[in-house]
Amino acid sequence: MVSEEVKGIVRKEVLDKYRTRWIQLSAVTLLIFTLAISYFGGSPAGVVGFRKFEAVFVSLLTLVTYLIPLIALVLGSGAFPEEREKGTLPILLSSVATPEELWTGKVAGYALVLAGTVVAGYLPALALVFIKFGSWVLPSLLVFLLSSLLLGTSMLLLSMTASLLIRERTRVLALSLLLWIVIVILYDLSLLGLLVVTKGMVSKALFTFLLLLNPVDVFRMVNLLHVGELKAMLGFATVEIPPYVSPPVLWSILVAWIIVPGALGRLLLERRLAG
Amino acid sequence: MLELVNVSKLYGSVEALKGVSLKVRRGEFVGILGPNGAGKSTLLRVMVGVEKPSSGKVLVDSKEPSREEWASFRKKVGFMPERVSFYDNLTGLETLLFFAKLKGFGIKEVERVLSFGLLTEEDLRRKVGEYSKGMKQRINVMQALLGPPEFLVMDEPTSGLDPEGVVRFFEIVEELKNNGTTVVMSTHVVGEVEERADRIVILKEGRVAAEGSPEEVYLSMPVRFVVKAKRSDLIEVLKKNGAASVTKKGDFLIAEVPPKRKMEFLKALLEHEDAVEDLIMRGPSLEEVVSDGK
Repeated sequence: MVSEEVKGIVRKEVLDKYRTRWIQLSAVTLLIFTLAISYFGGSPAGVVGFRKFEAVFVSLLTLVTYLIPLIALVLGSGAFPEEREKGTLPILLSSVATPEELWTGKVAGYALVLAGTVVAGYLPALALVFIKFGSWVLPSLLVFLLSSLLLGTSMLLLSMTASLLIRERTRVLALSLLLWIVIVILYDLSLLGLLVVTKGMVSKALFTFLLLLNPVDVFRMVNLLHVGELKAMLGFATVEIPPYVSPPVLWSILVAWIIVPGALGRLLLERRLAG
Repeated sequence: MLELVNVSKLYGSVEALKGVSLKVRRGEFVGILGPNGAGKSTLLRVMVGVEKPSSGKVLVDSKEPSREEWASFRKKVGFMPERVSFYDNLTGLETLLFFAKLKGFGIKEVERVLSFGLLTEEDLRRKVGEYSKGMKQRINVMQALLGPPEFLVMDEPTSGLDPEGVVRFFEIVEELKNNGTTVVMSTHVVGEVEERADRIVILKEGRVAAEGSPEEVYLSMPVRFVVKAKRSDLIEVLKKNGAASVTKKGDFLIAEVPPKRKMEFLKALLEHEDAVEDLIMRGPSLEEVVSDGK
């Protein structure tokens, strides 16, 4: 059962953040990008408009892998430094019964803000795709939306936890951007580099294992398992996904990327308070 | 009710509190005085359980509170940190309702705090981002008064308040104290606690430099005697009879006398009455005590 205190924190975060200009701008930016990419995403293959579902879908996936982690990491980086800068953190800590209440309320509030931003930014494009291609695309769209939210929440928790470790907001923000570069760009580049350097001698098992360590790759794999034709489009053509990497395993990894930083953040907050 | 036993607090290599021991009894008004960087804010944060001491103990009702007891203690605390700017996108009313909810109260408690008249209903409908510094401080006072708290801890509460606000603030604090609320407040303005506090604690460089009622603190401080001397040998007499130092300024001798040797010094003066033309005894003001931390 959710306590009134937790509900109060969630309500405050939602009210405060939805009135923040950059959150509103993020939703509008996502909306513009998703609509534009859905329509023009297939142009490299000589297709414009809602012609081929796989082309539209892969464009949306690519957009998610860049934008959602970025928005989530930037959003979460302010969670505790903002309270510190405003001077409200001591009031919060002296008002809540337990640190878990504050952590739970903050995480739930921020996750709702992120979810609202993502849904507001994606829904019109997804609705258009659904209308254009028919009900057979619905399961893929639902998997896409849910996995996007899980990916975003995991990134959110990473930066929220970092915001407990580092006092200054600018430094948390810098760390969050570094995390984004590593997770979204450098990690895959390094794996490709590894393949090139070893002339493909890296075992498939090791390569798959390394892919499974990165939530962005797990997100891609979840979606390509649901829409098989995406494999080549997503650059996974050479990757043979072993049978043990089933959708439940991939979903569990995405959830684990939420649970682990979540538990760490809670522990850090607990250690700070006297009781 | 609340006791700090040999509490130290480290921030990296900086020791903000160094072995502070202090008792706050139920219903008492304790004023915390000290220059900037003395450790006043850290002391208050440790008191309300927002910061863990690096060493030492915080006792509530003579025992170290369990996790549950801290949780229940925090619900009885009204804490007002210094310089809070609150959430720009929330209205004053939304801000107060949020803090009320955190403490388990609803709109009725907010209405009770509103009745103190620190902000009007019209003010509360505006976003906090549009508030002046003084209005934000009033919201800060109001959130601390929710409950009402059994234990009110305030860090420089009058900073940013206009004179009218300061008067109203102390009227409210007086009313709460009369109803049994324990009040602990830090301030730079000695006059704010000199008349009102049951006890004052002077912090300097993270240590308790003096503690007691204002009168006890005065009595514990060195006294300065200015003596107009008739004879030049009086300087030796004063040095031998209690003066820690004697300086000559024209016909005047200025003697610093430690608190425990005041009577000895006075007796010597009486015995050598013929050598004294006039004298003035001057105790330090509380401002001097605080700034010197003697």
